[in-house]
Amino acid sequence: MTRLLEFLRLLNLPCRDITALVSRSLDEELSFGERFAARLHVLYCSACRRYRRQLRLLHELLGRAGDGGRDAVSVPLPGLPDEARQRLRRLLRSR
Amino acid sequence: MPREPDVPAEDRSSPADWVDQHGDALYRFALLRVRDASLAEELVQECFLAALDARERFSGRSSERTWLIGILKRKIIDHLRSSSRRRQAEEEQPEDIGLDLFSRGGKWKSNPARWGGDPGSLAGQSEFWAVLRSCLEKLPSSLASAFLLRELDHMQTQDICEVLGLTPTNLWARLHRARTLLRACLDKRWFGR
Repeated sequence: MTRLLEFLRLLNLPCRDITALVSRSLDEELSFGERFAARLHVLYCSACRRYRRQLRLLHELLGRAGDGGRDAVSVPLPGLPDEARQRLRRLLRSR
Repeated sequence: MPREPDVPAEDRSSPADWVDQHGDALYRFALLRVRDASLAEELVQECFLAALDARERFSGRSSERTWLIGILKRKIIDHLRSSSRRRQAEEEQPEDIGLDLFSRGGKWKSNPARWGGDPGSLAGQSEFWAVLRSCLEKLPSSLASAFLLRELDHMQTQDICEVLGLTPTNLWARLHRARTLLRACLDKRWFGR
């Protein structure tokens, strides 16, 4: 009974809560009920569907920027400042 | 999978060359994650010092760059861990995610705008990355640490909770709010041009 009530609650979630579920789905697996509710909602709600598409795109682009934590490849960033470069060189030579 | 051959000792560079060979890459890696130039420098320095001590144990099975990035990553996480402990007391809770996007009943006040253009081509445009970076820099740091560990380094949510001392609910709220802010920033500065 409580599970049925929980399921019905999920099916009635407003867009605000669906967007939170969409965000969480990028981080971990949703429960069956949550997944079902979110999928059903975006079938008839074009605003949430668009929002989901955009969050997924950002997720994918940032994953690429981090390159799985190996290197910062895509994002243009300045290099090591000269002053720091010289200080670090001295430091490593002295060891 | 074939094992990578060990790098013979003479192929490894001496520490004196690390700065020229890896300095920029390490610095950029740290800067993207901590968003503060002097902190990034400090972390690179700590990374080099730790690498000096651990040099004998470096098997050469991975590249020298990968090995150094691994050390730097641990230094960044240590820093986030201790600074989140320090901040904890006065830390603000992430405000309501709403960001005024929704009415009180939870409906969209106005629908999210369409993002035109070909999303597939974004990754190849350096102007886009520059805008994205400046949007990331605007995120409040209480949201950015969690968000960047998750999105850039694909860290699991329970590990992020452990490092930053957050409950899962609190973490989800932060991640969602960071995504919402980032989306809104790109909406305005890139897609809405």
